[in-house]
Amino acid sequence: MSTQTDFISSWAAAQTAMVQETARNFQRVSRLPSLWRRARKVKKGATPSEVVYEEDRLKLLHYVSDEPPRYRTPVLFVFALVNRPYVLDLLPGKSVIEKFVQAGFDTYLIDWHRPTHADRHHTLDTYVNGYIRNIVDHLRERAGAPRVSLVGYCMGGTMSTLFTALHPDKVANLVLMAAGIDFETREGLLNLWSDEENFDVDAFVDAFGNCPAEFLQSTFQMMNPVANYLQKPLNFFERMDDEAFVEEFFTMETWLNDNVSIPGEVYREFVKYLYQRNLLVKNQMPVGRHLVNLRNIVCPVLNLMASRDDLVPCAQSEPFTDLVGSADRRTMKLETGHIGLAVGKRAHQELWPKVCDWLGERS
Amino acid sequence: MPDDDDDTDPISEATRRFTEGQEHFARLWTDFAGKMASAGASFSPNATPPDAARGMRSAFFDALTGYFEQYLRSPEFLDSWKQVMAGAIEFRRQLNENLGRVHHEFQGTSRQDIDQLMIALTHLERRLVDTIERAEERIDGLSARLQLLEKAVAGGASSSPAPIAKPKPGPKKTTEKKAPAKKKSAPGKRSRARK
Repeated sequence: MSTQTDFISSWAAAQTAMVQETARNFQRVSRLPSLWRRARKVKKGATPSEVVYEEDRLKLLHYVSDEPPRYRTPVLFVFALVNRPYVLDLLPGKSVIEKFVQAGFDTYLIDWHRPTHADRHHTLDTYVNGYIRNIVDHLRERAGAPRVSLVGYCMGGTMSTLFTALHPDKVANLVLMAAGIDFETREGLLNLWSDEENFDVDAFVDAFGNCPAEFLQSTFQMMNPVANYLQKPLNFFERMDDEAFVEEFFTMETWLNDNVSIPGEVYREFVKYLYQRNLLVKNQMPVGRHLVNLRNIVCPVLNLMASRDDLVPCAQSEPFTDLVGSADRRTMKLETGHIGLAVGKRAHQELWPKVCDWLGERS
Repeated sequence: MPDDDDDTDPISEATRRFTEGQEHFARLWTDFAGKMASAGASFSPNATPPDAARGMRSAFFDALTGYFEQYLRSPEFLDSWKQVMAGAIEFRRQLNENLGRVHHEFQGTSRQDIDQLMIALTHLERRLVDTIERAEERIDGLSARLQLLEKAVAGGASSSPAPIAKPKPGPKKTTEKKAPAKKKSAPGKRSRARK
């Protein structure tokens, strides 16, 4: 008798759950139009900032704080040319920039903006020995500090490394976030797909000029098609009634889909010299008329890596600390993905306070 | 006439590929079935049907992710990637050419014309900057040498003539080796060399 009752009650519970789930699905679908409106009103950047320097299309943002900076050495964030840099200042409480400002650093960020077809002839030399050098000189003068601390993320980390090796006298500290240095590994799909055998970068740049943003976006999404095309939309659908999740999702997606084209010649150099020939670790990487020697980097370096990074696998950034001439060098690894390093909860709880302390001791 | 170097039989090669494909396919479905079955086996009677469905869906996605990871690294995918890229590049090249031709027919300026001009200007700028940088380095070197001579003259009250110091290289903007001339980043030069 009791078995029969159990069966009936569990059957009833199952039926109730099914009905509830169906009702919830209807509610979710009915919310879609309002969410669509909301998705178009995502705010980009959480911390108040002012533009303090402009050159061609780039803008240098200075983050404003009520308190005077505690450290004299300014901190300059160098972001990649692939996406917009506001991922570093995504939401209050999830902003790397905010952490630095609160810790008392005089914080700056380079916003490269979108290149046009006219920028296709810009090379790494234009960026490293041109724009970054001009900005660093401007900051040294503005802050009255002899040197500047650089924090480079992803491709921006590689460019910061090139800059520091070429101008060691201008950099006080170098912090790299998931930066590609040793491209020997074929662990990452990007490394494999851009191999000389599989990708003719010369023909590509000659035909397209700048590397199109759509190409980059689809390549990144294709690296994990199940997560990007199936799991993510389903997950969103199921959590559509969670306000905090929706806000975070839209902000993140807005950034992810906000790709920018890469100037053609920079893309050619990056793919050919790094992904295909791995010249940086051999100290043969040409930037303009100079060769980059990593041993010239003698300032304190901090190498941050994400152990689940599929874009820049750890094997690509880990060798960095062994290749530089610095005596003061440290590596920190966090169990997260490439973007999780900037926006992940664990990164903000565990990693960034340590990074701020490390930098504070040296600023 | 058969090629002496190529001793693989096309029929056996095709069979091998077919068998390999079959194996992959079978492995994929075995994996799916295994993961779904294990998700089903872990089903608790207290779990509601939507939760059970989610568990099975998650197992399905896990298996699919693993399969895609393998596929995206496979020679088959890399071959198709190369073909797609070659096709896209060729299409774009022809589009550029034809659009340029249309502009020229209307006696207008095409993007290629502007690009050529940009390349020429960039090349000119590069040469000018290089020349200025070299001149700057020489001036720095001469200044250093002059300073040394001045010091030598100032302290040269002694009877013997002051030895002429070997000039130290002036403070350079960068501290690295110079790249070989062939690697100079003059985009125009590079583009032309490839053609």
